[in-house]
Amino acid sequence: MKDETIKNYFLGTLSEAESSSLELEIAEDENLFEQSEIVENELIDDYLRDVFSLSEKQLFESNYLTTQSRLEKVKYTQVFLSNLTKQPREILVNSEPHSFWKSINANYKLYKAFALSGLAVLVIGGIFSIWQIQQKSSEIVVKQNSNQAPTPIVVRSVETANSNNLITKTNANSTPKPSNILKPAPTPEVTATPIIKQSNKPTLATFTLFPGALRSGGEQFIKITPSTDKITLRLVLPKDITKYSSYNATIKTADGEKVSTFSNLKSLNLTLPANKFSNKIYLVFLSGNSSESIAEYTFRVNRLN
Amino acid sequence: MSERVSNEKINELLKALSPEGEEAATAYTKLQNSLVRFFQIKGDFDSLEAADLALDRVALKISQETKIDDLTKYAFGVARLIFFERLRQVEKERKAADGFYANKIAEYKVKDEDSDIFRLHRECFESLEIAEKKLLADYFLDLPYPKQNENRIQLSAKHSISMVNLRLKVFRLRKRLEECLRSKLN
Repeated sequence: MKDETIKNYFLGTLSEAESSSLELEIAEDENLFEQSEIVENELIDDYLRDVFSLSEKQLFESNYLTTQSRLEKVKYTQVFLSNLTKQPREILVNSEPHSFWKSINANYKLYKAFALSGLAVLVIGGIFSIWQIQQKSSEIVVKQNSNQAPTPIVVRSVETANSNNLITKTNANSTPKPSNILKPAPTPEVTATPIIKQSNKPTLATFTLFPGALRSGGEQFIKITPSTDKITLRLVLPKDITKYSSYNATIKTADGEKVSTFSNLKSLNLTLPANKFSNKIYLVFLSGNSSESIAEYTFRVNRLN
Repeated sequence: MSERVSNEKINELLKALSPEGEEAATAYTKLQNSLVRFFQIKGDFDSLEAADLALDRVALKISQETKIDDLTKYAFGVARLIFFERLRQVEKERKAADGFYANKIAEYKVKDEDSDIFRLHRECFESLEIAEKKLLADYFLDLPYPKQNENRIQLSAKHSISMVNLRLKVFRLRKRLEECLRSKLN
């Protein structure tokens, strides 16, 4: 499905037959529905950022902005875009397109530090060389630490040049090359203001489910927080059902996809990892030890951020 | 909200969907989800309630022993009618149809940015991971229109994902923020 068709649907430029058929397609296909939501968001962005032509703007206002719910969407988008541009500079620093000059500017202090340390090394190296010439010493060895700024850290005379791979043999008259000294170490990433992370201590959440509850009025919700590690579903038996010695339970999504199966359960507590659940409707089918159906439980999962 | 139909009538609908209990429940929920999506794309505020209303009417029709060849198609027909009924109801309350909501947008545009909604949204934003915040900031960088597209292409290359997946990732983050904001507002 092309985004353009969905965009035209929202702007009301498709024929009635095309619109009806598209609505059905979208309603029955979860992926297409998600695509339509993306296109819808982008349309709202474009409207709020004044990117529309005059005719598109008119179409949007007369054909899209027709319900309270859509008005709310525009309102939320406006808040979202407005707040995003007001985020701390630390987050936005890395957002700017990477240009050479900008990176030079951003890392100015870093380069300055390297340049100064390089200069210091040159001076020290020069003094040392003069001293060495005077002493008529045979060799100097410059050791470089590959993980730090490539500045000569230790300058010393050695008896055996091959004792260490990191030791480079040089001539007594040679000074460290500026190109080696000034070459900056890999630029460290600019870090944002530290954020106090929420505690991720794993927790077990227990929810009690009552049989049925397919309807909106009595819908059962399960809210899963990010720290929830495991979930226990405690199933309540229907009133007139006598207890069985063991139970079988199957958890499925509303679309029929199997999530988990439990057999020969002695209690009506189903424990499973929280990551098995996403924001969907789930059904639990409970049966007795001889496979007769006992009850069905429906609940909607709401994963909290 | 209109009165709900009885459980007996809902059971008849379930039987019409499938004689097998488990299959019927699955089919019911699947149809309910599709109807919810239908109302969402139409821009209905309470899509779940509207979907249940449509299912109630279908159940009522079945209880009157009316033969329905294609239940899904019929349910969507009913849903369409319900949407227009609800829309008409809203329009009755509107003084002028055209530009009504557009004028409302203008009101939001001048809203005080220190108001609760902005503050609550900022709280939701703070709950995101730093990488997620950076992704949103990168994606919605305020650039002129053609440059914004170029920026997003570069961003997809930087993250080594396709543009389709990048859009999806950003959309899901936005949705999380919207859900967070809604829950804080309610």
